[in-house]
Amino acid sequence: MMAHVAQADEARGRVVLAVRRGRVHPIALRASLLMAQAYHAEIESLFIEDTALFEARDHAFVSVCDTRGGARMALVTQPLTQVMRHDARALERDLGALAGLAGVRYRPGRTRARPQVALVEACATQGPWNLVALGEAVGAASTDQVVALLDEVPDTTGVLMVGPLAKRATGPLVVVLDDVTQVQAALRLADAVGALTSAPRSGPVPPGRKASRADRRSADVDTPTLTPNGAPNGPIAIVTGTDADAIGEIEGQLRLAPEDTARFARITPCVLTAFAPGALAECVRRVRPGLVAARAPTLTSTPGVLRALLASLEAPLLLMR
Amino acid sequence: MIFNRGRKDNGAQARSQATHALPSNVLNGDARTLDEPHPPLTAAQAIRQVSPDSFTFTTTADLEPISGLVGQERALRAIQFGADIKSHDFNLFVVGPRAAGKRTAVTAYLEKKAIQADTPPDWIYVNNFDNPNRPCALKLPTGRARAFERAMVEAIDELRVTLPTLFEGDDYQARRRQIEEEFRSGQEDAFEALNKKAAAQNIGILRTPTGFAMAPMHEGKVVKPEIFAGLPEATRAQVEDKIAALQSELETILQGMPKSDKERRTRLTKLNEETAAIAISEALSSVRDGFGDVEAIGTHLSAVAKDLTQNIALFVGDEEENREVVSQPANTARNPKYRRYMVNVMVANGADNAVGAPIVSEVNPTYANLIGRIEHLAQMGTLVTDFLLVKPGALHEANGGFLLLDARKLLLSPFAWEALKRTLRGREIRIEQPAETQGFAQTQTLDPQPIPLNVKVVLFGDPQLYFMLSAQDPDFQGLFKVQADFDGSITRSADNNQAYARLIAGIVERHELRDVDAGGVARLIDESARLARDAERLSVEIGRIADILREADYWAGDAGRDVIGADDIERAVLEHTQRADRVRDRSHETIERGIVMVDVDGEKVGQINGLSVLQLGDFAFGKPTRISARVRMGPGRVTDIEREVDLGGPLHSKGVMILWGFLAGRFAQDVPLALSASLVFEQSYGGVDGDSASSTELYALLSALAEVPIRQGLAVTGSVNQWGEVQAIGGVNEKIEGFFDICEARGLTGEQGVLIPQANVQHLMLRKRVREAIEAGRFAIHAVETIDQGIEILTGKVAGEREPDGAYPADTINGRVEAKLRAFAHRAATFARPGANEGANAGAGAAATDDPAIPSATPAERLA
Repeated sequence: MMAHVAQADEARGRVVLAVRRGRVHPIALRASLLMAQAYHAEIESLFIEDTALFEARDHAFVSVCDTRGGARMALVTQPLTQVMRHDARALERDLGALAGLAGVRYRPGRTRARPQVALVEACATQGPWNLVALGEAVGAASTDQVVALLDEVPDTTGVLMVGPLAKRATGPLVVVLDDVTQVQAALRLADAVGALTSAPRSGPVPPGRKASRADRRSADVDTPTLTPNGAPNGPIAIVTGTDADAIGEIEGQLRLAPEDTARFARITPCVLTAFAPGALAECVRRVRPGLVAARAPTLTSTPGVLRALLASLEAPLLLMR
Repeated sequence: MIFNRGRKDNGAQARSQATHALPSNVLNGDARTLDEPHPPLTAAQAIRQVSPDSFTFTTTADLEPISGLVGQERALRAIQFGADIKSHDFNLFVVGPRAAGKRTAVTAYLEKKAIQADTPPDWIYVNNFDNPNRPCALKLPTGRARAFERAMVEAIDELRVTLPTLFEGDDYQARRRQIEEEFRSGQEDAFEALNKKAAAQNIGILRTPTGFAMAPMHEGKVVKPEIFAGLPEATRAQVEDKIAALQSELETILQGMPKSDKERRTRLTKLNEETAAIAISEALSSVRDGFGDVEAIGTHLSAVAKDLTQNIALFVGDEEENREVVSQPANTARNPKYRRYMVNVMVANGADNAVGAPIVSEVNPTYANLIGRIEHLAQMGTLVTDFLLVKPGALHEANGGFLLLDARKLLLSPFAWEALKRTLRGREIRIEQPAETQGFAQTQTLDPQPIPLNVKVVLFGDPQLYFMLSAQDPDFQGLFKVQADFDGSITRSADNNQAYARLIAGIVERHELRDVDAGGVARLIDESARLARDAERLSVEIGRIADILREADYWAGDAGRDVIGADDIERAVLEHTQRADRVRDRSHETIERGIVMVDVDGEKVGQINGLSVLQLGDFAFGKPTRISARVRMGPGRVTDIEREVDLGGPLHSKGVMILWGFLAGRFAQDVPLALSASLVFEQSYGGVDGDSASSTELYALLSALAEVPIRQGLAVTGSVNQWGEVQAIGGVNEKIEGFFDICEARGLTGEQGVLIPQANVQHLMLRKRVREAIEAGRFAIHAVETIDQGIEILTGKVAGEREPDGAYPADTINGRVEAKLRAFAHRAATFARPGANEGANAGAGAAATDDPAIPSATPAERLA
């Protein structure tokens, strides 16, 4: 995972927030800033004016269907340019202000190109590492395009994205593992971002009142299950495999490095099969994460898993190469 | 015979004829000396003292204390009546002098009554969920308001935990996902299908800033127009038709989205409400159980449950959104999100096991302190408020009991008096901002539901205030129908002396002072009579009595005594006087040094010592003033110099006119009063008012007319009527003591003393030193009933009575006065006779004459 960058003290990394419309999903924005803060990287807003739109506008028969009800209108050059310019300015102003508050260096950027091309160029010209953050929520229909992005943009370390139900960027870090070799990287990631994403979810019982039955029920749910060594507030690991044997093998390997596994607040097994692609999504939902990190192959090797996860995920997803 | 016009008295006619023949000096020889001098008062008459032996107790510790209502039966009956009568408009106005113990007495009585009365119910304000600007007032059984307040906080606390837990639960999440998935998958499937369908036809769906556009694609790129134009006509038409068809499908999908979204929200809302209903019902059930007997609570809880169901987001809101606003306290009662479910306890009776009706004394009866107020909070530069910011006033706290207010403070507080009347008339407490009642614009405010009022208001004020309100405010008599009139003093009797001793015991107990022995009580009662300025009455100025007792307690402690005795009381009075008598000392010093001329020995014609009283705060002292009179023939008027220069008040002028009426009535029945006289308070540079010097001025005038000197060792006070009777005046003790101090400073000769009206003897409570001087014959108090008695004492000459022929003997004071006045009249007539003033302007002279029977004076006379 990308944690190796910070470990190498290479503070020249960059989070590239790709935006094609003015409105950026607030959780995507927050997650981008958190990642930049965590790795002392800069953030760049890359406002992409899709050239396809400008090519399409010359066709007299092309019109626009409004998203708010389907009303049809002409795709006129001048307004299109103006709208994009205004959107870009608004984005740069808002993000600049937020980055300033977060203590993150900000670089505004605009380009007119095909989205993939724009990202390829942006990531190729800066370095040593880039993390592409998608400003819009990724729907189920677009999951394939996102996965393809990792192939099309070779200079990106990963893609940070949010699903349609995203509403939180605070909570425990959840790392999805299918190989014991990923443990060290996961822990480094936890070291970097854990403090920023972790936060208590419910207030304490008001003073002067005994904890009610409901309090106790809540505590059962809220308090992460501790490992035998009792590491509080650590990351939560979800160990995946295609069957119980595969998971058992990984768990066996994990037991060989108890000092590492002790740092996880919880280790949860999850079998990924094409018959139940939503199992991982359900595991993740139960722990109410603030950030989910996984390698792309882990999620894409079983059909439907990434799609189901994105469809129900309330936190950002860091999909690593 | 102009002198005889209208005269019916033959004797007078004879006198008139006889006096016409008088030479210019009519007063030959001396007036006859008085054979038997008038006896002065004895020392025993100078004070009325109570004997310590008349008491049956040793110290006040032996007495049962009482507090205030001594000898005030009239006021007590009024208070009893006003407190007992149920009618809302029979409120009380307690009238009486300052520091008379009115409030203590009324409170003591009301406390006995209030303890037997029912404890009134509690009142709370809760949110009106239908109309938040009009909070609902709920009546709760006594002592239940705080419990309900706590119960609501606990219920919301419970929901803060249970609702998030419930909504995070698997059951809810599964059902929610099912709904979300149902709608989302429908849309996404449609989009995905359309995408695939378009891609299959080489049509790309492009995302624009505002929507979607479709264009012909080739190898992932939009076909350039020039290439597209190069395609065959049929192909182009085919592509355009495909795009049109796809766009129609897209439109259908997009048009269905709002409706679908609305349906989704509706189903989610229904799911949320169903999920929350059980938890809400459970949380509120304990409250319902505890307050099932209060119908209003049941109704309110139903409204709370409904609102909770509709506002679950308050409990399970988006955390990210919450993080964007100001951080909020964990305490539910102070959490702005849950304010709407809290309870504003306006009145909580029965706290600390208190029972009975409340007695509330509001020392600062401003509008807000009386009626209550609506506070505001500044939020983002705007003032906002809600039902929890409604604050109770004294009327809320006194509801069901008694409210004690100072009338003067009430009237001085803007809007307070009108608001109190409005509230009493309406019999409900309606909290409005003062500016709102005046129709001025306001920031966001509330219109809380009025709270029914059942209170007995007791106003305390002085008589002037009571009479002013009675006369000027038509509403006053309608709302304050009971007047409890406290007397400033009570009759001095054996029973009242005993009661007064118990009153002193009450003060001792209240202020935790040393007990007072019988001698101390007796001395204090004497001082009380002196404060009342009446030997027959006792002052109930409890505040002043308490002050003396506290000072005496200090001096007793200073002397190492365990009990306050007469000496301590005496010292307290003396020290108090000495602290306040700097002005008196300076005033007397000016007399002793001769700067202000006052003679205390010898004899003078037309000069006499008058006495005045100066009141400085709670200290008063007497001061002698020389009064002089000059007489001459004139048009018949007395010149009151004080009045001429606007230093004399109306009462003083009245006294001068009365003495002039006496002179005219006694000596000018058949002759014109051809007298010009001038009277003045010598070296008086301040205002003079009151008629207590009218007899003094008359003596000076008689002395001047009779040319008989007055003993300067005597001072005089007393007013006079037109018949020559001397009438009572105020401040007799201070006046006597004031003159005594001057005489004592210059040396008592035994010839000095004061003339007082006989009616004032009953007021004498003179100081010990004065009494001792009287006892030793070195100072005298003469009580007189008539001017004749007074002039005889002052001159040592016989005043004289009319003889059978109607004339006063010529060797008496009155005879000499009459002779002088007739001589003036004669001369005036001579001057007015035709021819006697030829060449003079008779018309101008006539205008200067008051009496038409007297001819006008000559120019020389006018100039004189």
